[in-house]
Amino acid sequence: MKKGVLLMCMIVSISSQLIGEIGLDDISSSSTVKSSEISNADMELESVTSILGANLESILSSEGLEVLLDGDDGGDSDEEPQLVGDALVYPNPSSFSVDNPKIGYRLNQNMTIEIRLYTVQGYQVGRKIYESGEEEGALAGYNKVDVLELLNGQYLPAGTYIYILIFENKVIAKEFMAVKP
Amino acid sequence: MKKVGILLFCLLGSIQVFGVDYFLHTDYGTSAKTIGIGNVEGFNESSAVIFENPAGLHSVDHISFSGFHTTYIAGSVDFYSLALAYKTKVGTFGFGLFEHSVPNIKRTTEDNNGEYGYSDSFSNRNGVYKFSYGKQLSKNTFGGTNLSYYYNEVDTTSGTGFNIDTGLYFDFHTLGVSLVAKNLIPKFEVSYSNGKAESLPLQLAIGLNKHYQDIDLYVQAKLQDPDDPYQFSFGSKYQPEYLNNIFYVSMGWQQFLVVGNSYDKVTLGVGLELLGLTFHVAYEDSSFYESDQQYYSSISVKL
Repeated sequence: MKKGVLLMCMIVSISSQLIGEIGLDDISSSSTVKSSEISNADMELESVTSILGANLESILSSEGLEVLLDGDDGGDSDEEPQLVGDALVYPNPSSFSVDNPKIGYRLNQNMTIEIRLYTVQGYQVGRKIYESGEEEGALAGYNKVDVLELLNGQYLPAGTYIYILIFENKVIAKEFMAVKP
Repeated sequence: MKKVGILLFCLLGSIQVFGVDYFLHTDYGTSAKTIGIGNVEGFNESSAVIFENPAGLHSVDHISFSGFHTTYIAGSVDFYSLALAYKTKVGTFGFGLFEHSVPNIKRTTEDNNGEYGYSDSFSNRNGVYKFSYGKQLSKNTFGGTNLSYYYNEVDTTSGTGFNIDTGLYFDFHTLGVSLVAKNLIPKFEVSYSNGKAESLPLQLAIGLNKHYQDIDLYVQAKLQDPDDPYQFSFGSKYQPEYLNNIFYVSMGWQQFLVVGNSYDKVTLGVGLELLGLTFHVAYEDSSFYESDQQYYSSISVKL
């Protein structure tokens, strides 16, 4: 019986420490935490999970919390949908005849994203809308989209172009893309 | 005129379509005054006419200097041009530079997870030098030629190329006619250090300017690719004589192509001339998502 009480105390102590480290105290009103956002705590989470086993989930559940794994949908999250980090084209500079340039970016959840490509004078030369959750480009996690998709397969002359990512009529990323012949 | 028509017809037939054409940034305007009349080319009375029709150098009396500046993409990219023309007994000589550069472009990398980052930055510099000569051919006819030197540096890949423009200008008192063919020699391309090349597209344009009292009307038809439609431009300018011609307002409409996509735009212009110094400002709606307005400014000096 005493061993059982001791084990419970250890569990509560470790789980409290874990909750403190990943900042859940600050967002206790939120019912969802994504493991991709707590990458620094991932290693500790794994080691603690191995100790606690299934008890961890039940403890977190009792705290009103949920742990989502990478690749989970995230569609029911209360978080604001947003771009995480930069939206970069690779390679940059690129040549259409040699490379297959792609724009890569991470979304914290499924979002409808529109990408537009402009000349440096601001004239639009490419555009595509990626519908939330339906295709690469609009999924939670890391997305890669072909630049040629925006251009309907048409190559661009050498020079600099600018692409923007739009979510709900707001520009959430803007970067230059250089094209070699 | 009949011979000129035949010449233009022959040139039109010689247009060849290569894989990817070089991007001619000068197509979108090199002077606020010209942009303000719908970019109808060849009727600018300053040295900036070098970029439009070298035959227009006839309007330079002695020395003309002009400068142009604008920024695109909400101030991210600067475009500018400088032009100088000097009239001599054997004709008018001119030099023009039109350039833009884009610094701090991110050079990207791919990590082991397939995600993209960036390591450092590079730049793109693009421009054209024009060396011009214009001469009066007869009482009402003027001719001109440009030698154009194009350059485009994208990171460590650089490209250069030459070509020739030639033009005619007919002055029939209240009617002016501008004919110009740009990049006449089809096989002169921009060759890059990576072994690739881009063709310099031949462009043909005919423009008319009718002057009536205080009003000038302009119209232009331009052709680049035989598969593409003609691009038309219209413009008007009001310059009241009772104000000693020191002030004008203008308005224009222009059709143009951007990498095969057809656009059109309305432009407005205003100018003020004082003691041989003329300031020009042009305005148009911006087509960039984040900007509402696009302004152009020019200055020209006559000596």
